[in-house]
Amino acid sequence: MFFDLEALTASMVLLSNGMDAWFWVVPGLLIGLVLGALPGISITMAMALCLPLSLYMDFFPAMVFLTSVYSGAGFGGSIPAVLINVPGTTAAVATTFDGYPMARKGLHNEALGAALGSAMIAGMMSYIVLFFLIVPMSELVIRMGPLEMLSVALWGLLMIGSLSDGSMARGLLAGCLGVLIGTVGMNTAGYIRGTMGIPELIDGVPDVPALLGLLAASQLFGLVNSKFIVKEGDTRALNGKAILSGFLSVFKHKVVLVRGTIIGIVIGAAPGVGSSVSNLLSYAEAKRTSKDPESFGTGNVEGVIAAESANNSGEGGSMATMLALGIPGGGATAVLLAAFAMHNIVVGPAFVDTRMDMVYAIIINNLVQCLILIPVGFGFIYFASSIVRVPLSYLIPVIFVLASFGAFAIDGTMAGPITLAVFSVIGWVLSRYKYPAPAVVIGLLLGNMMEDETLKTFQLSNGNPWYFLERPGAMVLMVLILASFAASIWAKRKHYV
Amino acid sequence: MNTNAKQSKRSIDWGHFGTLVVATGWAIWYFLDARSVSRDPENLLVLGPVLALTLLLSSIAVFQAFHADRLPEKLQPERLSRSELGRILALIGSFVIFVFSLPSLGFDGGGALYICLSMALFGERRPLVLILFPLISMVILMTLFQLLVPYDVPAILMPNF
Repeated sequence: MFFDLEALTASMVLLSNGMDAWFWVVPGLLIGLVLGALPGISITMAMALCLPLSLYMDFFPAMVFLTSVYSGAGFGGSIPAVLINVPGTTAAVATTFDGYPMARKGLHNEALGAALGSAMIAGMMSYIVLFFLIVPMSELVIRMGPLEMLSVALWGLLMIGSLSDGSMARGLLAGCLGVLIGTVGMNTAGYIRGTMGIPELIDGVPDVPALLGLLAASQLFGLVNSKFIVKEGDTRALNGKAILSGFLSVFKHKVVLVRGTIIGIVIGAAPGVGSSVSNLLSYAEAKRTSKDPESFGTGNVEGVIAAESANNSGEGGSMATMLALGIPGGGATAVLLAAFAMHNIVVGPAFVDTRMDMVYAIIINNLVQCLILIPVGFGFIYFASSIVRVPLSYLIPVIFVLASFGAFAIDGTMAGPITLAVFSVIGWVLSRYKYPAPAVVIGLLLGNMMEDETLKTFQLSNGNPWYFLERPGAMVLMVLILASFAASIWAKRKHYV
Repeated sequence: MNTNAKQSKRSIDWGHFGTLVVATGWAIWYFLDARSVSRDPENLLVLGPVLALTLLLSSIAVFQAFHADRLPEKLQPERLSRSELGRILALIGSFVIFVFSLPSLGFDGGGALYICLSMALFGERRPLVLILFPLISMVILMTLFQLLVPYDVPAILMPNF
């Protein structure tokens, strides 16, 4: 039996007795949606802001409230990503690649509907997997060593090749510069490089302001000569049918959805990696395996589905590691762990053994949250879509001020806004000369991780280059990466300048 | 002879070339800076190969910059009139000035001025709109972030709660 029937029955009793807990689902989702949609307010920060409120609740309502914020914020980040090319969270970076071009074509309703559909279905699938496989999945994840993590980072970097539209050399060069920028500061061996004597850079270039600057500036400064985000007036209308059509389009791309969900669950479960990587990997795989890869980046709904399915299924994956092992997969689950601790509950193997009913109750409640996200998210999208009707003369200045606030909110210093300004200039220059700004973002996000895992592998193996032969999991990943890269080059051979 | 010389001048994209010089120059400086800290493999294990790849790719890109007329349209910079380019550069410049003025003007004062100036760059000329919209939007944004952010937001007019 894949599940404990007795615990399942007990969880049902828990869920029906604790009816007050259900009251917190909609407020939690709404708070998450609003905070997730604000650039610079990460999912972790959204949950941390809500953590004190949960102190005054009983344990189960507190969990329901916080996981609702988690679900809402996970999807909320995709709304500005689609509408204004500014990802609300790092997990929505890949959503900008096709979501924003769709919005520019007047397909913002469809793009947001597809994002909502992917978020809901992928979220549900991840919790169903979690329901049956919580223990084996967490045991598999804990076996991932630095070499496997390095393989994951390389897999993500491989995406740079697939982002190069026109010249792979320019795409790879942008990615290399991103990797170099991502390694500025002190590495895990303690060496401090490239800081130019600026103490704030010792911890590295702040990635959120940098990616906000790169992605927003690469598109938004150029709009000074336009009147609206959506050029044609008649497509600016709010259209519930179009949102629904986008939502239903997810079912036409089942393979993209399922693959994105699997990538999201596995990467989400790996401690310290999270959705900021999985959405990129899923997008890259969707583009690589598509029959029409050229349409990616120009407004292909598959790109939105791939990114959002991985983004939202990561929640279930990271919950598995947290509940079964007591290890937070990322910042958001670390906040949840703190909430458990505040209620004197220690999660981990003993918790799964003795309180499986509670684990099931949390999982079932999250499944229901995904369903409730449909009407709540639909209403929120309808409201948020009206942004395309605002003239750019009002919108763009406010977006840049909002991004500055978001950059400041990360640590309360001027390092964030200054990084944002510097990378805005870099982003505009790069996009002017047709270097893909997203390639720099990927290099930036993965460069540091790649260096950390390379050093750990180097230390573990004592510099033995054949160490990978002792790690079959890493070997499988490496073979997949090489095959994927070869396929990407083969597909792009015409443009290989 | 003269025509050929003009054509060859036209085929060089100096803006692209300048961008490459700055980007590659920074990459080389970064590697040399790292090397001056230590030559330990744990310091240069990733940086060395990435720099080598950067230089290789830069040389390809430099070749492209020197043969700009032979590149496909989608690799060419967007053609902008002087006034269009000027407005973009003014928008970027005003944003950079706004950010660097934040410690002295605060988010409220600096933000309102930046929004007003940017709106003017977008072609807004109604004085009442240019005054009221920046003020109202900054009051809303400041209140929202002062409520959300656990740090004091720099401000000159709206004190933190």
